[in-house]
Amino acid sequence: MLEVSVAGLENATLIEVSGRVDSMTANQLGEALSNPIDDGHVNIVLDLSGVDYMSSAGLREIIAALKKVKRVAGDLRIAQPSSRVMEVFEMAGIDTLVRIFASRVEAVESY
Amino acid sequence: MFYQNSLQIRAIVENIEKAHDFVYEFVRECGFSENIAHRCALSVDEVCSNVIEHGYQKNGHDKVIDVMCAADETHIMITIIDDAHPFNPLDNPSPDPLASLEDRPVGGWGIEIVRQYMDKVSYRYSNNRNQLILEKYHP
Repeated sequence: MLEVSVAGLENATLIEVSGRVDSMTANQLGEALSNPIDDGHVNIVLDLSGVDYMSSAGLREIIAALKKVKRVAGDLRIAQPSSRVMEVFEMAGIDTLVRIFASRVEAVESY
Repeated sequence: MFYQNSLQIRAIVENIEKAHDFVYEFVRECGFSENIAHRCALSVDEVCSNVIEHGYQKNGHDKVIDVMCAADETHIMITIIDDAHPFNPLDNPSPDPLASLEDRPVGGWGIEIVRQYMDKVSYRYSNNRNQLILEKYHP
């Protein structure tokens, strides 16, 4: 199971996810990213500081959410990925598609 | 020293973590680093996910996946075996990490993670079973 918390801030919606993102749990990540976009909150910050394991199932949800949010002129920005998660992001070129920040505050204030 | 161990799981997504943990513990017990154990275990996660989703088409309640591990001080070999239709996942070309968002499919990274994290990956179809062999050498 993933722990997901969502906070509506002035400029952005902050989604904090903790746990292991794999084939079992990736759909939870997908829903957490998709729901705010469906509700019209299209400036998203995904805080991944609590995730130290992400398989390709997680990459798939992030790419799908990015496609979705870009279609409505929003953005998905990522804060504090662990080194293991960052390694997978770099392999898949996620870092060329998404702005990645070292802190949550920086990510939120970037909007 | 030579080490070996094997695990059989029912081919459902709930069991992938068992295969992951089994491989992680095996690699650590053989004296390899956490990083190598992580890379081997994530690769096994990806292969099992692929078998369950594509090979058994998410209908593997009565099917199994065998994970066989062997190692000595310098070399780990993990063989993942399934009974789905013959399919070599290595036939798929590597996805492009520099593709634009518009041009890229959402998926396709699982086997690429395996290719990148392991030193050698090979496929054979033997005894009516798919066998994907992952190898990692001590750096």
